[in-house]
Amino acid sequence: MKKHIVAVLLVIVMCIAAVSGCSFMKSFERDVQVTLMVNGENRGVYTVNIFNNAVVEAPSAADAPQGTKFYGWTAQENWEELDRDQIVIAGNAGLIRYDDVKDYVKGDGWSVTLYAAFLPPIPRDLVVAWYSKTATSGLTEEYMATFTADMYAFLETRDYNPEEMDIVIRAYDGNVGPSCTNILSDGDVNIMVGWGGNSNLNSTGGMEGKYIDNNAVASLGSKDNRYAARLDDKYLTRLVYTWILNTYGGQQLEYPEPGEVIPEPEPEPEPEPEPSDLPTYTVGADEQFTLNIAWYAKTGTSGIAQTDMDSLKTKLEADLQTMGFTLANITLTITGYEGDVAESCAAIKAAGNVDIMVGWSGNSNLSDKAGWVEGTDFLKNVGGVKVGSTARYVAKLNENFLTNVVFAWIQNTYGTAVDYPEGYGWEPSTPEPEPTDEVKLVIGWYSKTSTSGLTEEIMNNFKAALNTYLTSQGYDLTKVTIDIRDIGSGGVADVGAAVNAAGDYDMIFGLGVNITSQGKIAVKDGYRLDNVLMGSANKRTIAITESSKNSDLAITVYNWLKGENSDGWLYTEDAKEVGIYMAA
Amino acid sequence: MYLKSKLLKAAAICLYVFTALWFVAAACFYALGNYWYIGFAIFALISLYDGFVITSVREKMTAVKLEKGEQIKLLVCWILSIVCLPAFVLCCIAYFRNTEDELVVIRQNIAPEKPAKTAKKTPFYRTKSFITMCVAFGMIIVASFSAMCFETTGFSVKVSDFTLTSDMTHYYNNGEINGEAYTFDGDTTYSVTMYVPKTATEENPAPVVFVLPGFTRTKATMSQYAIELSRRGAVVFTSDPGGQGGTNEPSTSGANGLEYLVQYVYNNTDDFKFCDKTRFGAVGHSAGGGNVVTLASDMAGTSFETSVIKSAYVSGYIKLSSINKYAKLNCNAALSYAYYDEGSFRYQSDIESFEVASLRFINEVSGKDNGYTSVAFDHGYGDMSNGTYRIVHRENINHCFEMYDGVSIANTVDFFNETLNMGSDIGGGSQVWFGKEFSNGIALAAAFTFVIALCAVLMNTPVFRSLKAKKAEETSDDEIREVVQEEESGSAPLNTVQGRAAGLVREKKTVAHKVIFWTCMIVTAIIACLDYIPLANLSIEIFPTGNSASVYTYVFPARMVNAILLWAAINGAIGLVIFFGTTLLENLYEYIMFKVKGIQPAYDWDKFKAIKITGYGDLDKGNKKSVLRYVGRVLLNVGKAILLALVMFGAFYLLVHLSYWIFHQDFRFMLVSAAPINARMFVTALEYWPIIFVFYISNSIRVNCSIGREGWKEWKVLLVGALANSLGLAFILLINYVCFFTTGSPFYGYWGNNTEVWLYVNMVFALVVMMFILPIFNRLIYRITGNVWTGAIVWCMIFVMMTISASVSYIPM
Repeated sequence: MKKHIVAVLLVIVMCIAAVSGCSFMKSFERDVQVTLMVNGENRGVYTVNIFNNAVVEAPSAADAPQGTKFYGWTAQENWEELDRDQIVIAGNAGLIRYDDVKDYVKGDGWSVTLYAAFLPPIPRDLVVAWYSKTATSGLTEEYMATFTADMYAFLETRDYNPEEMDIVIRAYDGNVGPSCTNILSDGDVNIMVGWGGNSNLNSTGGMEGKYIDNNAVASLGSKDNRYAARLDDKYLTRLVYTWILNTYGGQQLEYPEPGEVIPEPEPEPEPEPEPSDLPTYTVGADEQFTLNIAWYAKTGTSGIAQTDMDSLKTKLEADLQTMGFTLANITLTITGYEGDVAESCAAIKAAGNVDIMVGWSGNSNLSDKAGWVEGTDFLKNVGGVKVGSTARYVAKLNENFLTNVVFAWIQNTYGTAVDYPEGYGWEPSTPEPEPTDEVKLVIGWYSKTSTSGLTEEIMNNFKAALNTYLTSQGYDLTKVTIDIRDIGSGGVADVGAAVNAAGDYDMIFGLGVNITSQGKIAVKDGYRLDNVLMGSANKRTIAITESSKNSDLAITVYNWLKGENSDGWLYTEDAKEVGIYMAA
Repeated sequence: MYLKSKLLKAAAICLYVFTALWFVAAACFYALGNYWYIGFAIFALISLYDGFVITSVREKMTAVKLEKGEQIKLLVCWILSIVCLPAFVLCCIAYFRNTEDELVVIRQNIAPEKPAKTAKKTPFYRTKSFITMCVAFGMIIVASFSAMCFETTGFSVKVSDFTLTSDMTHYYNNGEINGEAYTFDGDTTYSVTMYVPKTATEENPAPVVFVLPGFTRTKATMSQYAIELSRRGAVVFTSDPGGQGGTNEPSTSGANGLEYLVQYVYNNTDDFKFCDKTRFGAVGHSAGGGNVVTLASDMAGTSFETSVIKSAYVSGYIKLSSINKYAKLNCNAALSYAYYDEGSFRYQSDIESFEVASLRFINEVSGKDNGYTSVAFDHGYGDMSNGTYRIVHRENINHCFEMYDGVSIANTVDFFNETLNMGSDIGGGSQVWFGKEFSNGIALAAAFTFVIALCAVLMNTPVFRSLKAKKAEETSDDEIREVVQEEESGSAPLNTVQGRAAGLVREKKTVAHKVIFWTCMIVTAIIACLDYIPLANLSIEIFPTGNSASVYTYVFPARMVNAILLWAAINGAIGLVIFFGTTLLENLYEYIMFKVKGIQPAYDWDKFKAIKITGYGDLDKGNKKSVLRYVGRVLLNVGKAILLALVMFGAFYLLVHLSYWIFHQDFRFMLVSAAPINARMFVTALEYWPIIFVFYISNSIRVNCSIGREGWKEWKVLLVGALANSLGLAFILLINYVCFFTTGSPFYGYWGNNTEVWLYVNMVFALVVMMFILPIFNRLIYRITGNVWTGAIVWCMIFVMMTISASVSYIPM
């Protein structure tokens, strides 16, 4: 009896111990305080432990000294004195983990300081990245050793001496997302093998716009659904890439010739709407439209990549607005269809809601391969349309109004000019605004405070200071409107696109030196101030936009800020108090 | 010498306890990748064997002063017992105790003589087994009824099943959902359970919540959400994902079937008038959470108003492909990720981690970026009225138990209560689902009891009675135990050649025997612990399903169970080799001693007797006809043993189906469940039974022919058998979670070629429980039937069926 009681008590104690075990486990979670330093500047203090990581902001390109890029976070304060291979990087650029810093903790307080290391990129002859998650890619080290040997043999037939070249075959493990991030972070990969198709690279890998070509290589490794991607246009890259496609992709492409120059693609002009080329439609304020555009996602055939369709969408939306459509009333979907002509057309038919097809071939091709009949399955199919790298066809599948408008627009934009359909019959819902002699200055500010240093309070204070100045200069504030507008807090490229799309900003505050390079915002020559201090941030920019509609007033404000000999308002104590100022 | 004997006994017990502690320490250090684990394992073995020797010295004591040889042995033991400090002290005292004890009065319990049993035969309905069977059956009824009451909230919620077919989706496809038509073709069917509260009517339509479980789970594992939501006034639909439970579609693409169900309910204006189509919500756990994100983003439309799903609760899923869909959601949403989620080790990059996911979750709302730089858990961001509400939870639980966590369920319920305007004033913390779980657990235990009692009842029938008919030379284990105890008390001089020849007694257990016995136990446990994950990894490589969710095959299609298949086959085979091998070696040793030293051999071939199924009646070996008749009876008994097992299996699953048919309840307790069989699961099980049976017969032989013959009391036999069979698996959990709680990553995360194996460890939770009770059940059936086969067959069939029906099968049926 006694034994039974003891046994029962023991079981109860064990159950209590198990149940309370979780709270006991908390004692294993030692917090580590991580301080991040960038160019001597404290960029924040974060706390991590075994179950909690910290999302941090990696230094931007503006932080990197000339000719370098962000290499990673290191606990070595003297990293500048060390060689590249001596610098030990702690983990990810944007995520600090306990495991990355636990070996560097100092003192009883469990703290560590990490420094942003900037290094120049290593120029290599060729870097081939391979996906080492074998269960997915079907590639192993042994296989890649054979691949490398075969590649070297090919290069020797092309009069190269691979043994003396700087060729790296580099493995990337983990899931698709992290592996692609690492590739982009390394910045020196030319070719990727073993990953998936475009949609996988773009959505999961975040590689949209970062590669030029991506093709199936069915006999590479033990899986038959893998791809090879090319990230640049260097001759050696194209040569080896062509060899990969011919050897593992079943293709019979011609090899590029040495010295063959691939002209730099001309930068796409900003989609400035040309009122004289685009028609104007008067559309009912509440009329809803749906438009589904299908594109042939077999890039090797259609020459169209996701980036091309994204660019098309941006231009189309801008032009539709110019034409008088309200974007909020249009449900626009752009869908890629893979597979061969028969499969893709069957899928389109099954979907039953496609209005326009881009990237397929001529009528006979649609008829022979997909069994489509003109007049039944599609209404019109026009060639000579070069949305991607090759001239293909665009087809419309119905006579809806918007279908006809966009069908004409695609031909006008990417092919031969044609007439647009006749205009619509509704009256505009809003009257034309009366002209006034009022002046409006639109100042945009970058609201990502952690980068720009700006807050709403700072901008309000600045506006008050500006109003005071304008009053002192005799401006009638009842007729001068200073519109302080938040341009967004997303990435610089996104914010820049929004600014350009709006088209009515006169001045921009808070972006960095990448306002033009990354933000694609054209700045008026001679009217740009860098290295402005804003809030807790430095190296910010104030600029007048090229498209400023009130450049006289903008210039007046600019001159007030800068002064003639760098003695403007920005250099005063008032400016420092407001939070936008220049160092003395 | 009484005191000295007691001291040595206490020292031995301390050493055995420390053996366990050293093994635990060894496992902990192994988990941390520290080579000290080898040292701790050695300490454990020293501790164990030291205990054996001390016990042997104690048993041979005839006076307080030991013989020289024994004294030296004790000295060595004392020194070695440094690995166990309490034992060291006790041994020290015992070693130096050389004075006789003072007169001590020893109380003796003289058990009263048992009255002689009368020859009167008890009618079958008054036998213990029959009464037990009836009581067990009654408990099943009562427990299932109780579970039903909890599930239906006292009959205020109507619970029913239906099957979603292709025709049903096509029939109601007249209205596309935001430009998409969600239909499917072919023989696919999805199994759905619907919970409709009485308050949901055509005049007063109720909000609707769709619930989807994760990978390898069935909808029954999410019934707690259904119960809590339905009792608060929501209509709830739970669905089995592809290849799991009652759904025969193995594909898991899209939203894993949830989109078809939502579209069907949304467009079906005939049957679901009590559903408010403007208040649809969805919740999913693990892979189900990912499917919910896909569902909500696919049906997001262009605004909150046009989004079909108004509220989405994502639990335990933060893959990048899902994170990238947050911006497309046009609904109120909640994200929950367990603080101790074992799978988080896969997401430790700056584009795919919980911290990144939660930040993006609250920032990327309806196509905009809110610009938050940090996340406050349990804090609501945004506005419910326009579908921009976001909240992130992080409960203190692990991945596989998150859907059984009260806080997690409360968060889910409160979220839907607010975002779908359920209007319930029942707080999230007020939960009753555990009543159903507990009742189902009682029913499960009662069902097992019923089966065992049924076996005993059937063994009393003329048909099966012959299975246990004894031949003259056979001796039961009870008789052996009595004899051993008599011998130990010195009253039975049976340790004679004649006694041994009669098989009535074994040689008293020597240290060598104990060393062999316990070393075998430890070795098999260590092997079972260390080979589980490598075999799981191997199963991915050698079976067609591999690690894929898109390979449909008839060849071992239960992807996760393949790991158990290999583990059971290998460890079962090892068990058999060890059993037969050690027996042969022990008898060989006796033979060698006889030849070399002339010591009378004490062969122990009786171990194998229980493995044989014998005939009944007389056998005249010289008479051919007699021999043939006997062989015929043996074959008949073999058939009866198998038939008995089949009857027991059939009875168990008849009970399961009956309970489901009457009460809509199966037998389960959290991860251990016995659900009604469907054709595809049955066909799948047929492939696994023969191979996994190796393990079950091996275990039955071990517990009955080895452990059961040690002369211990029955409770000790059962306990040792249970621990021996389950400790190896328990140590997998120990190693995994020691590593997890000290480093943040599980020990078994990736294996081999970066293959994810952490989900296989999740399966061990249920496996440990089943492996603990298996030897007990095997022993009970053996004692009833007298053979090791019946128990092995029936438990193999039942446990494999339970495992397969709670897992995923990619059989194309």
